[in-house]
Amino acid sequence: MAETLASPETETALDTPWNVVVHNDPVNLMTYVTKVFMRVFGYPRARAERHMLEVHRNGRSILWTGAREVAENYVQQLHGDLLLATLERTE
Amino acid sequence: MTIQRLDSGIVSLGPLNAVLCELLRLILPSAQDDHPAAQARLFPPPSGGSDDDLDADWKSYVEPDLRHIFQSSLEVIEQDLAALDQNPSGRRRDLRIPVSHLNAWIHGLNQARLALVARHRLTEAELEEHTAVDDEDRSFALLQTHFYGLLQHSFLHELGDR
Repeated sequence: MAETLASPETETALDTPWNVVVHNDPVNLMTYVTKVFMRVFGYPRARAERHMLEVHRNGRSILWTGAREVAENYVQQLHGDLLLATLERTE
Repeated sequence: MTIQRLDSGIVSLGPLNAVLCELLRLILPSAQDDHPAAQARLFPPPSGGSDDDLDADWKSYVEPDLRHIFQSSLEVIEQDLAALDQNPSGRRRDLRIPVSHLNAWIHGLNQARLALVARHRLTEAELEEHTAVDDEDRSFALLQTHFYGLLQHSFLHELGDR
């Protein structure tokens, strides 16, 4: 019986890590954004504030990188907290 | 108006005059996604528009869960605000919110602010300048955004976020 094998392109796509990106929004309070980062990702306050400031100053920050399914779950949580978040394939 | 924690695990806002009561009552209608811009902001595409399949699946399978989360927060606020209607009009009164409800308030206030800014196309400069804008409706929306932000900040402080 012939086996069905994933094509090299599919295997590469499945292995490619994904970024969870948070984008700047002038409405969200800095204290609120920091609190969300601490709760969703389990980051200590210092790291959460560093990402918050990066979002504020640079317009975006990569909060996490890894498997697509986990990245989607994080983005869903962030949307639930009303943050502007997207997932993107890493380069 | 002051915001203070009572010993019974309650946060008290007061005294509230008629204007402040009305601003509080407007939280729920302000938080609705009945405007395309508000809907776009409250339910943004997870790919930013670069992956139509992902965005379509998100809309079908994730957005209903998000709507449930958003509605749950607004229902808590509505329940707490019901006490405002139980007192004679014109008299100054306080609003008492259980500390356990503050996260719902923070979320609902944020939702209202985001929807107001999107619906009325308030700019970052207008938000930062703290000045009135020419249009009456937009000026009132700006006032609401700042007042709800003040409440949100105060509630975050009560929950220990300095």
